Amino acid sequence: LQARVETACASQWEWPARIAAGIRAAFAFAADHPHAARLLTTEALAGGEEGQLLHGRMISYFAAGLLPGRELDPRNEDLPTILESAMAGGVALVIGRRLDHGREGELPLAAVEAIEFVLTPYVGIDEARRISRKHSDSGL
Amino acid sequence: MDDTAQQPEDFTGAFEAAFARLQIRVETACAAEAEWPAQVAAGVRAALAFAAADPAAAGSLTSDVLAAGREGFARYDRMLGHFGERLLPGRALRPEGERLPEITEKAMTGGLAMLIAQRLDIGRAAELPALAEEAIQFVLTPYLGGEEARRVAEKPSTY
Repeated sequence: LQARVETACASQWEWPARIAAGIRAAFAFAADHPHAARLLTTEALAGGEEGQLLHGRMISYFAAGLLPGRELDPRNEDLPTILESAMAGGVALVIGRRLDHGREGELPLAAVEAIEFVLTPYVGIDEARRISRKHSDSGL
Repeated sequence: MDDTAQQPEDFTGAFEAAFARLQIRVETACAAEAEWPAQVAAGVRAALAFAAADPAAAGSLTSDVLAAGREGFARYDRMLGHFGERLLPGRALRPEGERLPEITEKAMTGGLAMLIAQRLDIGRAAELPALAEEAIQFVLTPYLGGEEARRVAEKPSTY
């Protein structure tokens, strides 16, 4: 998953496009490899203390990737410090929920919404929507 | 998912009892406020206070239920859906609210629940009430915008 996401991010120059590409890659990974994605989400959470720690580490990793979004606008300095962890955890839950219901086929479409959800605090709803739609139009 | 991780009787009763208590705490707090943003703020404060005051009950709603396999995850999902529905009226507050992604409420409540679970897992439940301002701002921002969400979050509360 890390390799897929980082390769996708590296293909883009600007931070919002990098995040969009990374989210799209993560959702595509989950759709292509639902068993592996379940290990990272619902099964990790079901794995007791150790599994939950590993899940927390994964969330922290992806949350750290969102931090540069705070530099896009001076007003972003006022964003709550929990924002990145909470959004990454929320998106992981959205993926886990689809997988748990055997609805991994919906994940590529859900990626468009996740891109908009994650980018909105940093770039505003209109720009987040424009970027997410661009990714929708480019093949999802 | 390993459905044998924990037998249903191990967690079902504890989850349902804790969920009922949390619902009462949150709904009582919300009912004390007239405006939707203040209701949400009061509800978030009440949920964090509940988790800090009774980490075992809060754990049965997060880590323990998730450790119970598919049935546990379904209950967890139902709880998030319940609280997520309380956020839906926020969409009507601004014209752009109607355009928020459909996943917003579930992702917001899921993210918040995960942060609570993390604090519980590392034995830092007592820190949870101090997260209230940030958590309220996080939850209200999509509906009110950053500035107004912050203003509501910083407003003194009885919780």
